[in-house]
This record gives sequence, C-alpha cells and structure tokens, in this order.
Amino acid sequence: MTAASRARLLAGVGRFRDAEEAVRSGLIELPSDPELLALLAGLLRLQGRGPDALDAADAAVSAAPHLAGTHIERAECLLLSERPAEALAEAEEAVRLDPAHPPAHRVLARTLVSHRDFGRARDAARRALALDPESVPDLLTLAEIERHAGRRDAARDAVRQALARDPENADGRWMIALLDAERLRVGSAMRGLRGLAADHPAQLGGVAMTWPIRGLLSGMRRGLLVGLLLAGSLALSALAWPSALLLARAAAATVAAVMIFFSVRVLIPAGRLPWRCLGLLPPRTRRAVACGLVAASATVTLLLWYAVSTHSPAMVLCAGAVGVLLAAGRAERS
Amino acid sequence: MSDALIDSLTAAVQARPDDLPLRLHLAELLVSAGRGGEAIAHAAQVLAREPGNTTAQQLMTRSLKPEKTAEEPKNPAGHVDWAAFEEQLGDVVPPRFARADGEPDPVRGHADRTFDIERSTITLADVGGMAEVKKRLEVSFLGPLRNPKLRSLFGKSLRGGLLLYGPPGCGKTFLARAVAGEMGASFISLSITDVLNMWIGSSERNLHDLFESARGHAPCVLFLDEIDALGHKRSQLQSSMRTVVNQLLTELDGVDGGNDGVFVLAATNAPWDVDAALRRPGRLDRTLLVLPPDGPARSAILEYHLRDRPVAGIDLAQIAAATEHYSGADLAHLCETAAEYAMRDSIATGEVRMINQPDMLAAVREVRPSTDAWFSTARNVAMFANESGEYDDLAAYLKKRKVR
Repeated sequence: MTAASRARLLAGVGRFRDAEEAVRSGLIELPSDPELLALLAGLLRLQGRGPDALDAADAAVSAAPHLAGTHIERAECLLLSERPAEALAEAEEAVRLDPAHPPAHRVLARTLVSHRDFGRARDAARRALALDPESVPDLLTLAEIERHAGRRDAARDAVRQALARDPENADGRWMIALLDAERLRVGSAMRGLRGLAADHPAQLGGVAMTWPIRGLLSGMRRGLLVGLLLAGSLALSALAWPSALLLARAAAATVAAVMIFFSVRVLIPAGRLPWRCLGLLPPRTRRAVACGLVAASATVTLLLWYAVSTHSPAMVLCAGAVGVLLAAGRAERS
Repeated sequence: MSDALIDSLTAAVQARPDDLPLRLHLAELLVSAGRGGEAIAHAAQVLAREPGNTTAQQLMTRSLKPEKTAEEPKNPAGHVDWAAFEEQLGDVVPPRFARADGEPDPVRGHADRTFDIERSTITLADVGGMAEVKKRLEVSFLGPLRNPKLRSLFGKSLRGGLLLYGPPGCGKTFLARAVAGEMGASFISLSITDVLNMWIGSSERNLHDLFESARGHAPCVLFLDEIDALGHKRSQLQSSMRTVVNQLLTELDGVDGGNDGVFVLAATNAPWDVDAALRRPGRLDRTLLVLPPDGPARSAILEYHLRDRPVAGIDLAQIAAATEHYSGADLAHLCETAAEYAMRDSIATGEVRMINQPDMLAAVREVRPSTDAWFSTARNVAMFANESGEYDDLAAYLKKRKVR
C-alpha cells in the first residue's frame, strides 16, 4: 500500500494526525512527490493549519506545476487563508490545465463565490456536474452557490439531490438545517441539527443549538432599533404636531407586538434545547446573550408602557435599553 | 571498608528486599566506601516506600554529591560538567521502561506490532484503583466466564464481546491485557495500523485467518484496539474499508467456526463512530466506561512513575487530590515534568537535588488534564445521542462532574 493510499484510508476514518504521519513517512522516501505534498496540504488544511497547509501546497505546485491537482489544493489553501484573488488565479490555472477534471471546476466555483460572482460560479459548478453528474460534493457546491445568491429553493433542490445519493452526508444535512433556519422552520432545523450532533458529536456541539436564541436577539436588535427610531421621532414630532403622538403610540405598540410575535414564533418550536445549550457557550458570550435577553425584554416592555401611558421617560429608558442591547450584541460577536 | 561485608549485606538485601533498615545500612556502607552510585539505588528504593525517611534523604544527598578530589580540575564558574553528571548517574538511572524481570517489553504501540500471540502476565490486581471498573468487569464478564454451571443454570451464553470506552490515556488497553492475564488466556491485539500494514488486497482472508488463529489458541482474548477506526461507521467509509467491517461482523458472529473460547474485547475513545452493527447483541454488546483514574489509582500511578527517580518528601495524597480528571498518561507526563524541574534546578545550581513536593505542585500547574476535549465531545453525546440510554453511565458521570 502506498503512503498516499494509506493516508487516504486513515483520513477516511477521521484520523488526520495518523494520515499526516503516513504522508510524512512517504515524503522521507519521495520528498518531491506532488501527490504526497498535495495530500499533506489537504490534511493540514482539514486540521485548520492554514499557513502550514499553504506551504505544503506551494511545494506541491513547485514540484509539479503541470498537474491540475496541485493547483486545486493550493487554491483551497488560499481560500482558507482568505486570499481570494490568488485563489481565483490558481483555480483558473487548474481548469486550464485539465478542463475535463470536475474538482478543478468545483474549486473555481468556490473561489467565484468568495468574489460574489454567483453567475460564473453557477456555470462552473454546472460544468463540474456535467462531467460527473453523480458527484455529491459538486451538488453541494451548487447548493452553496444558490444559497449565497439568495435562491433558497434552488439550493434546497440541489441539496436534496445530494442527499438522495448520500443520505448520511453531514454537509448536506447541515445545509438543509441552515436553509430551514433561514426560512424560520425552527422545529425542522432543530431536529436536523440535533440529528447531526448525535451522529457527529465531535464536529457539531451544543453551541450550534443556541441559534434560535442568538438569531432572535440578532433580529430584535435590528427591529427594536428601527422601532425606537420610528416611535422616538414620531414622539418628538408630537411636540410640534400633537396628533403625531397617536402615531408614536401606535408605532411603539406595533413594534412591541411584532417582537413578541417573532419571539413566540422562534422560541416555542425550538423548545427547551437552546436554553439548555446556552450553558455551553463561552462565559463572555453567555453573559452577553443573557444581558441581551434582559435588555430586549426591557425594551419591549418599555415600548408597551409608552404605548399605553405616553410617558416620555419610558421612551428615554427605552433608548437606554436599546443601547445596552446593541452593546451586548457587540460583546457577543467579539 | 571491606568489600566482603558489602557483598554479604548485598546478598542479605536481595534475600530480604523489604527490610528497609538493612537496605539503609548497606547504602551507608556503600557511600562510605565511595560507591555512591550503588547507594543511590538503595536510597531511592527506601524513599519510594517511605518518602519522609530522613536517613534515606540524607544518604541520597550524600550519594548524589560529586566527590571532590585533588586531581579534579576546577570547573569555570557556571560551567556544567555534563560528562561528570552522566557518569555519576549513568549506572544509577535505570532504563525508564525496563521490566524488573529482565524480560523485553511486551509488544505495544503500532510500529512494532505483529500478530504475536502473547501471554499476558498482568492481572486486575496490577491495575491501581478503578474499583468500580474492576467490579463491573467481574460482574459482566469474568464472573460468567468463571462459573459455567451458574451460566448454564441461567441459560447465559458466552457470546458477545466487551467494548471499553473512555478518554484517551486512561488504561483501556492495560485493562484488556489485565483481563487476559486474569483469565490466563492468550492475547492477540489488532488495530487499524495492522490492517493497513499487512492486509493489502486480502483483508477479508487475513481477518478470517486471524480469528482462526484466535480460535486455535482458545482460550484467547482478541483485542480490537481503536475499534472506531477498524469498525468505523460504514456509511462514512470508502469501499475498501467497508469490506473490512463486513468481514469483522462475519467473524464476530462466528457463523462457520464458532467463537467458543474467543473473547473479544475492544477499546475506543469514540464509541459514537463505531458502526452500529458491531454493537448489536452477540457482537460487542456490553460496554464499559473507563474513566480517568480515581484518587487511589492516581496515587498508585504517581508512585509507579516515581519509583526509580530520586524523590523526597512527596505527599502523594495531596498530588492525587490536585489531579482530578487527569489521565494516566497525564500523570506520567506530570512526573516527567517534575523531574525536569528538579534536573533544571540541579543544572542551574550545580548541586544535584531530589524531586520534591514543590516540583510536583509546579508540574500540576503546568500539566493540564488532556481529557477535557474528550469530555466536551462526550457531553454532546450525552445530550444528543443518548436516546436509547446506551451512554447512561457517561451521562451520570458528567452530571456528577457537573460537565454541562
């Protein structure tokens, strides 16, 4: 068995370290073997060791600049290193060298997505699929492109085709959950994520399950800020045109009602799991989320109070609560 | 000093190795005779049993102190005479992993493993602490084996194997060997590395031959190490490895040959990656969680790793209490780190000193438990993959440990 095939088998059972060791042993005998160098780059990339992976990919390209495979790997490493322009040049070179090789078109599609050139990315992914219609990675690449382009139905169709060929595919299941979440199919998304976490506990943890709460907070930050600005400006207008006060109260009540509805719509189908998983967040994030939840609740309450009473202190306090909500959001992201 | 007296005392110590005063007396004579190197070994043996023995500590210090002679060239300030150090310690510090009986080390690791059929000499008595694990092994595995009449009374067959799982470095492989030793059975070990090393293109046949070999040497413990790799979920595998899993299933069922007298033990850090078919009844249908060592086990492990090192005044109970959740491998590393501190200090001061409690405590601060990453994944398993209750013992432990 060659070092490369041994490494591939080990990588296939998730033993990246052992696979890396196998490749390095092979490189002792064949230090300039482009296949081994590209494989090493891939293994390092999968372990998240971007700079090391790129070094190995550079060596692979130097050893065999005429092979599309080395350029494909280098393009992937450059994408990981967030150098999209070089990645695009590398992917185009791979396609030029071997236009009949589907992975070359696939990596080109992926690099074009990073340039937000969805039209060309879609074309590249379809060329890859035309060359290998059964390829699950190519279907998932197409789905990813469609999702980024905002065409969620097309994305879902592509993922479904991929899952029809490989029902257990983790990337496909993840993308379905993501698409469900984006469509606010909360229950379905949570079931999908829970199944994925059960099958791949080392890859997907409880932190991902907190998305309904964190997504809700993200939505509330935007909604409450807009609501506050609207209701606040109407309230100020009422100083000159008293009839605007009614509009301000209506705006405050509407914003509060929409936020309550949105919260119920997200949190009830999500069940208790996101709350249980909140404890798994890093302490700083956990504190920021808790603070955000309190601030969001306070803002909604204050908006309702203003709608009922028209007391201007309620609006002032509401502005303060929104400030806290935004600060907590910033802390959560950092 | 008479060499004859030393020789006769040496013989007496060999005859009565536990007679510590006699050993100390011999060490004293050796130091007086300028044979400090030999004295250190005896002082170390006494300190291993009685860390607070002041006579032994003084003897150790005297033995380790380099003797100044008239001919000895003076070292320039700050210069370390490495040659003298090595010469001084060369015959004192024994090989780190040598066995007391002089036998070569048993086959371990991957690089040197072949399909040797071994006879394990260790038993469960050699496993420090882990009372709960031993009890469960006794009840679920060894007890039925030892009581054939009781077994037939309850209509219990010997089919099926035992899957040991838990964080890395916590002694699963050692336990498997101990079980083989306890049963007086042969021991064959197999891992993914063996498959990749030896079985190119004929994996099914070779796997069959291996099981046949185990059947031929019954009673035999067949140990499948890292079963998550060898029996990975087939849905995630390439076709070449799928055939290995299929054949493994066939052999575990023992359809043709029967597996009487072949006891299959398997170990893994990631039972959730094992193909579900391997865990069905009649195959690896019993599981045993092997957790990081408990307090007494940690003390025993620490004592074992310090046994041949010059130590003084080490409070094992305190170190054991400070190393909760450490794996056996972590504890070995901790002892290594403490030895490094003492050695570094000896080099800096030019005066050799023993490993002491502050070294050990500093090492505890330096070496963190490596099991945390495993428990983080295990927490996900307990939360999301325990609907059938197969990880109840893990969930209970996590709850006890307050890992959310």
